[in-house]
Amino acid sequence: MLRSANGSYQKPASRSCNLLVFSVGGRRLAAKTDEVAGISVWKESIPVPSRTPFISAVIRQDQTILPVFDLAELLRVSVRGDCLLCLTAKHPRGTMAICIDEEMPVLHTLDLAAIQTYRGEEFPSIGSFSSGLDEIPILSLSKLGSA
Amino acid sequence: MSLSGQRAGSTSLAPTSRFLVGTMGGRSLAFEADSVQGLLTLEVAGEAEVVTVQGVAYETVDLADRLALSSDEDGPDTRIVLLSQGGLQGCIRVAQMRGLMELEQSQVLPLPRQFQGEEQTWYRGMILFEEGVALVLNTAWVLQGAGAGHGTASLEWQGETPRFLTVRPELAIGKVEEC
Repeated sequence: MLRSANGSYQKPASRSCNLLVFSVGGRRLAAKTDEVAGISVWKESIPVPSRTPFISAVIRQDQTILPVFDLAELLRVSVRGDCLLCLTAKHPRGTMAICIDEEMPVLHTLDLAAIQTYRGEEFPSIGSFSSGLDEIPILSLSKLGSA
Repeated sequence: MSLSGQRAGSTSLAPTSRFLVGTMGGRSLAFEADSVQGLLTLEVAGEAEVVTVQGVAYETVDLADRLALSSDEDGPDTRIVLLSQGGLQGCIRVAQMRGLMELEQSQVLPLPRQFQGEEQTWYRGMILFEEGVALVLNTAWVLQGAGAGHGTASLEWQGETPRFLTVRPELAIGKVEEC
């Protein structure tokens, strides 16, 4: 527990986490901001013949090559928009790119107590939260592709 | 015969490798130049499954099939790449040769670790090529497919000397030239 300058104990700060809410094929998803390296304009990907599920392309960013995780294929949707975006995700095996809808992601601060168990199993998650009538799953970007 | 040669226009002492870059099924593929024994036009190579040049038989490798790439239509730029390494030989049809690159080994980027399947044995890595990326083929893996499922028809050279297409070693990124 942190102590204030006058020696008294502070009331514990509200425990919260910062999320980035984005959409893929119209489906809203969230990820912890500390697992996101950046958002940029999507560049055309370069297919790579591969047997690894959902990893069959790379993108080039200047002198760097990033593998592409095909989240849309995992979700069985198609990304939407003419100006798609690239979510660059931190991952234990190295930074990787994910193509997301053109809808601009938004930052969202969530009280940890508001995180619910997410029952879907199509991707690794750390839970979900309610937004209006929607349940938005919180994707664990660092565990994508580790199934 | 090998297309390996002197390093072009560089004073760096770092070890270098040379790659011939061609296209297949819309992908850029890089062949280690040390393994490339020659390039043939379709006119010279003909339709035989085995091309024999100077007494060495090169069995066809259907690399497009092994990489699940769409097959290219034959055209005036189609080339047959003769490969040899470790006592194995094979020939591969590419839609076009794009150029020769000499790179320091540090410029051969490893396949990203997210690629966890058998493709790890297909490629030696990746190189930056033009605005995109070329996949550096693992020649040993490529040649494992030599002759698989093919007949034994052979084309023997008779009469005229085979017309090879060679690459001038001084070209860092150059056009493949016929000579």
